Amino acid sequence: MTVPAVEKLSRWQLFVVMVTFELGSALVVGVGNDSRKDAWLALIIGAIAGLPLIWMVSWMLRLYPGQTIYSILKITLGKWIGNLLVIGYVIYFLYLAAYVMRDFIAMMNAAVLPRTPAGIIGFTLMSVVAYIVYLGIETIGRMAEIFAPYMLLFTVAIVLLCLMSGEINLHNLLPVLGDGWHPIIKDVFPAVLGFPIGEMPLILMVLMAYIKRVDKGLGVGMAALGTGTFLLIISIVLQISVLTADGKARASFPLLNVARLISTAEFLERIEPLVVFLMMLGILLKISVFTILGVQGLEAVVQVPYRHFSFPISMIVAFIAIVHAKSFTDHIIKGTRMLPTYFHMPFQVYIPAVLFIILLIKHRPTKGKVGEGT
Amino acid sequence: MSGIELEDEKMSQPLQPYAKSCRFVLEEKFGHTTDFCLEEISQSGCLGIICYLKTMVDLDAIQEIAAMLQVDGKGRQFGPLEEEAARAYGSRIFTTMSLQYPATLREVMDHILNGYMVICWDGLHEAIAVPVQGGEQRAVSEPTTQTVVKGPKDSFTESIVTNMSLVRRRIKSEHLRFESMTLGVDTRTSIELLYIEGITNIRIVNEVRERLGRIQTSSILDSGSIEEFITDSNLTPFPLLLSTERPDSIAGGLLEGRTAILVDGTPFALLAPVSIHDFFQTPEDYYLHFYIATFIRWIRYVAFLIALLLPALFVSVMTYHHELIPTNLLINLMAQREGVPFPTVVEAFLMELTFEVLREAGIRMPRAIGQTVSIVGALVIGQAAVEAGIVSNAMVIIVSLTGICNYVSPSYSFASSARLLRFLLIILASVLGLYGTLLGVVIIVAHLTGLRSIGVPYLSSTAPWIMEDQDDVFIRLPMFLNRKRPRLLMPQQVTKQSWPSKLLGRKGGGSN
Repeated sequence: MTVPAVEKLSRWQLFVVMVTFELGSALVVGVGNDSRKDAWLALIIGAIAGLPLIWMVSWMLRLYPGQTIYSILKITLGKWIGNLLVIGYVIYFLYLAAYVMRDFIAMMNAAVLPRTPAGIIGFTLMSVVAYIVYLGIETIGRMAEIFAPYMLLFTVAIVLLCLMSGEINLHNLLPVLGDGWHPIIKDVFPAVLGFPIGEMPLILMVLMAYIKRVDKGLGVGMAALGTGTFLLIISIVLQISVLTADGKARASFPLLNVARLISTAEFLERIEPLVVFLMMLGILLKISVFTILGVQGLEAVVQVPYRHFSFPISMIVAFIAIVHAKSFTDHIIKGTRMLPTYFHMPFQVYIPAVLFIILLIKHRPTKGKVGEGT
Repeated sequence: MSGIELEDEKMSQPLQPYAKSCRFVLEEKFGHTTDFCLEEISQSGCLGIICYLKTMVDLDAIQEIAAMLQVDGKGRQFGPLEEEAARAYGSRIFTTMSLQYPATLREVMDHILNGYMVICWDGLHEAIAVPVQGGEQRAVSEPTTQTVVKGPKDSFTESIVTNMSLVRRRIKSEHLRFESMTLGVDTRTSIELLYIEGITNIRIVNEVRERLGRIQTSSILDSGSIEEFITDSNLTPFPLLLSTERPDSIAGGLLEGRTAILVDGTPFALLAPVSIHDFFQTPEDYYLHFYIATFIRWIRYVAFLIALLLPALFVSVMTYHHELIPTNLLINLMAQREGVPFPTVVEAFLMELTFEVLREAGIRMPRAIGQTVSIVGALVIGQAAVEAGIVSNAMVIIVSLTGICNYVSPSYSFASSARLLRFLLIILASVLGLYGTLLGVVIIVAHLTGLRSIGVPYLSSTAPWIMEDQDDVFIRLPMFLNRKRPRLLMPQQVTKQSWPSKLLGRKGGGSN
């Protein structure tokens, strides 16, 4: 009856973590800016492209119930190559955590705390993240459960308030496919697929090992992808219809600009700090998940419980967040030019795909047997 | 240490069949304490002693028993190794009493200490302990800390026997179990572990029993000490066990599948395991109409949030985020603060601390001067401080609202956690504004998700989300729909009632 030795996530928790994770920073920064008015279409295509990724990942994790992608890499590719790739994933995850952190710092400075140094925001938030990571995966699952309803409520509330303010103009979405399919496809591969769609199979790679019935992981992943994409599309349609496609592309934080325009019932004005704080919950969860994925990789490499890394690694993340780019523009350029090609694609698509093929070859003769065993 | 052990060994050896030797040892053990009575009786050459603590017994009963012994005048000569002699003798004289037959000195002393009258006869290998417990005790009265408008008005007293009967009278089931144990080397306090066989999860019972068994201490004077020994974590401001003086609370908890711990000498019993939502519920919720009950529950949640957050939100908005306040209100607030020399956070601390001091004084002061303190407090806080320009009117409103909201909580110890965390949040708010406040809230939530009460997650039913339990968490559904016991307690018998017949008809006879 005391704390169980093996941490467990319920399927609902995994679902909620994945959805809040996908919404976390995608609500903050604009998604699919290159697709202009058809950003929502880009998201749908991206989600469809994400389905095979999710299927691939969940197939691999079903072969080794209770094992994360890290152990599978080590089992399949041997200690040296496996460890090397795991370290690669660790760096990737921690860099992503730092990247999201930087988004958040910039948003805080732009919207609510203009004179507070980035370091203060970074280190305070990362201290909280360190505490959450220290408390473990179950805590993240439960926190997502607690915060998800509020995030949903706030998305709905913003839509309603925009409607009440009369800011929504759906004509801004027309014409559909004005520039043809070409820019959309170019935007989806690799930008939209890498962020936010491709991040869902990423967490599935690790967190699926913690649910009780691994065979249900695929369903959870698909449902989360669908729900997350749906909510994102609502937010994007809102952004475009309120700000126009140009306004959305120009804004660093489009949803914030939307909130700025809200003015209803005589007193609901200037609510953007509230919006920022609700977004903060999603960001916090997202950074925590990335950090915990990273320290779990470290655990797989050096065999030390991941909780021991929580504080030092969190502080390193805060540090990277501040130093990785000279300015916000630099940061955005790194995010749109460097991340998708050199980070997202290899870690989200290439490595899992290679691993998938190797496992497919390895397990083809005994496939039936494995199916019985699980 | 070894001396004590050696003595213990001597004490646990079988009783010598000589009244004289018993007398000698007992007199040595109890020393010259004035309430220890030991009398020799002798009947036809056979020697016996009766001993009791006159502070623990009912003296009238002693008289009666002495009379009974007199009636049995013919005396007895016991054979030296007669096995059942004590029992035969006891049951012949005291036909209707539930007698005990202590066989070692340790047991004899325990019985004397617990208010038995012990009789030893020459030639008997067992003593006879007659229950004559008495002594002063308070009558059952109305609860003082957890009052209700509608519902039972009795509350526990300091006597564990009374408390047990208060629970037993509510649950007249053969499955209700009392398990007694004695804790505290010096106080030897009686503890009762209550659960219902077949409802309470056996693993929970075992865990509680084991934790109680691990307690090594000198004294247990209140259930609060037990709480700190068996709680899952002491590093938290939140109470992980629910303490209540209401028998209906305990009975309700037992019927949901919890265990209860009664402690002799205190009217406060413990319920375990509990989740955070149990601190927002009262037994009265079930006696009122469910609309009202649900509404009141929501009021409690909101009041708790206000008590926790309001001063911090006010400080952060007044210090960092003026734009969030509607302009007219902002002008008003600023005008009030015109002459106030302190930053808002200092003002908040000043008032909160004053309020806490007044509150503590209100509890400790003698009743007679209560009037004075409340007048002074009201004047000092309410008027003079504002007029003197030390604090603003708005801050007085905030602090008093916070204080009142704190009293809404049905559990005193749970409300205290908000009192404490409020100060942490004010500090965070003053340093980082709303961002800091929210960070504080996230820390508190993360902390709560990590807590467990006897192994059950503290935020159960919410996180982890249990859909089946939602009929009695934020919303109380009417009784006939609330068919299942809370899943978070993993009861052995989940369903507590079947569908009512009027619904059954509509459902086409489907049962489940």
